[in-house]
Amino acid sequence: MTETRRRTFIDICRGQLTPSDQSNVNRYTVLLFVWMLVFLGATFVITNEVVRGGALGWLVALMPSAFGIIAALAYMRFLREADELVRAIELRALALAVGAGFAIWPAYTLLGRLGVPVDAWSEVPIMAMIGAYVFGVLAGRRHYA
Amino acid sequence: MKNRLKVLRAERDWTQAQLATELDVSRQTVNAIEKGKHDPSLPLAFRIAALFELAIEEIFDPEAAAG
Repeated sequence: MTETRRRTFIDICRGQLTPSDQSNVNRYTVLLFVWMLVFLGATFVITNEVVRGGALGWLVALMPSAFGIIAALAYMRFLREADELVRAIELRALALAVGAGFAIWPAYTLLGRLGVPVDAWSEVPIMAMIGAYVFGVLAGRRHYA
Repeated sequence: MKNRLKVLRAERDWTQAQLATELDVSRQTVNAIEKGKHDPSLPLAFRIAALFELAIEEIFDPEAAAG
């Protein structure tokens, strides 16, 4: 019984993608991983003052954004070419993530003006959006499973 | 929207995975359409109709709610 439930949950997490969709997912997953490594690398280089301003500093600071745009384009390609149900699930999850952002960001900003040390929680809005997106995808896959 | 997809598939002795491959969609999409949880896009409805050599309205009934 437990094993069946676990398998079902894993199936939901994995989704049921066509080979073409799987290929597109693999592409943007790799690009997201590269973006993360570039971001961590740039953060390390700037934090440890390996580069200090100047053209090189700007290049290092903007490099994660460039990779982020490349990853976003790969995700847009996935959405454009995706199986229509997969696309519907993804779009609803994105809507949920944007909604979570709209719900949390004002509170975050206003609490900061009230003197609450929100700078310590600077990742909260983005983490909430990512959490809402993941929840939306899993809920959608479960609904249509 | 109610449809006869499951019946038509069963008449041909196809699995959901086989039908999904024929239609170039995921098995999850076929399952969702059969259960009435997802209404197919117009291009996919045309592909389904062409595959079963039927008119769209012979497969899909917009008047009946899915049960």
